[in-house]
Amino acid sequence: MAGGQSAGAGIRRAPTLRLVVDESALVERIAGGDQRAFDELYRLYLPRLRRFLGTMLSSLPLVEEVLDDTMLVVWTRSGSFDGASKVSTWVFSIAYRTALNALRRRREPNSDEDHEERPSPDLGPEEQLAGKHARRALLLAMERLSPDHRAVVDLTYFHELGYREIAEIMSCPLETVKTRMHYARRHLRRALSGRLADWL
Amino acid sequence: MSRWNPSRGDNHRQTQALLPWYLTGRLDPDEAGRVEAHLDECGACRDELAAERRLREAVLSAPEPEFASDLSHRRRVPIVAWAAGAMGAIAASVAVAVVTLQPAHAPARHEIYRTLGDTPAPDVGDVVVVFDPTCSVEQMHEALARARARIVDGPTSGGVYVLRTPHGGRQAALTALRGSPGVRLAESLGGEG
Repeated sequence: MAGGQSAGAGIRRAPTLRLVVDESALVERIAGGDQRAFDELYRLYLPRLRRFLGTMLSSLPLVEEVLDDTMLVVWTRSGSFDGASKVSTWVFSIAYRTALNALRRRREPNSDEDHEERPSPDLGPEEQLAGKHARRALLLAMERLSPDHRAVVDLTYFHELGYREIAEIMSCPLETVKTRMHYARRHLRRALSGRLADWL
Repeated sequence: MSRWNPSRGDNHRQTQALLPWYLTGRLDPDEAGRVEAHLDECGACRDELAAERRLREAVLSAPEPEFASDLSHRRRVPIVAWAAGAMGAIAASVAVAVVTLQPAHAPARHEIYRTLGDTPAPDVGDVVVVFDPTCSVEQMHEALARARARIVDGPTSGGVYVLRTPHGGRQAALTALRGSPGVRLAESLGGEG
């Protein structure tokens, strides 16, 4: 695999601590009622889940609630984890489904099915400027994406997951992941048209 | 690769679709090889790769939503704290959450205790419970009555309720709840009960 990454100042990526932890063994211990193992898994996943859920949801209380519920499911369903998928896939799929359920219940505006068809918000004269205004434009453009599209962008860019794992997390076909990412990239680039050169 | 027709048009389309994962090194060797072969012969896709790289770096360097670092809306102890709480270490668990949220300002453990202590007592739950989907209202009422507990929060999106049990009666309440029909899970939120 030759796809190199070009690092830039201020770029954040998912923590790599998981590489040295046997997460499957942790889940096995959790299934046996080991609360220390649960606490360890909780510490490992809290930053990643907060980032992911913060991308999908729109308020801190809702992120907290879904995070709690996700970890509760991890505790109660750990016995059903059979190792067929990676632990990260299993945990993120629980978080994803829990977030979608929360959005449905709250009927948040950004969970509308036709959301992705809406045009990008108009930018005022000040936001035509470079630098910080480009960041503002990007945040606005992200907000205009549906939760599903934001999830694919976050899982791809920040968590650096492959499209097969993302499809497993979201319980959708591989082509759907590619299509969502393609739409999101086009949408973000359109919103940032002419600004990316001023970014870094 | 799920479907990759060797025609040039399909190579072009598939290459463009796979660029995000090519950049992060998440393609299998065959896929990466096909992408590189196409990049060698397609200037448009090389331009697309450069644009994709800039976009990805822009997204990664963008600030996270403001609420991610705002603790002012914290309304209660995280429910998952019960796991550590059962070992008498609830503050440590809360500290994990707070430190993660605000790495630049990690409050000392006694500060966390004070914050929790400031919460009005009537609103503080000490037990979390999850009922079976088939649990009837009557069963729920009976379980709460046997535990002498009342609901102070919930249900969350996952159907979790937070209960307050009588002073000094938490263990008895947990025993009653766990023995009640319709109760899937009942756990302490930590501390002395």
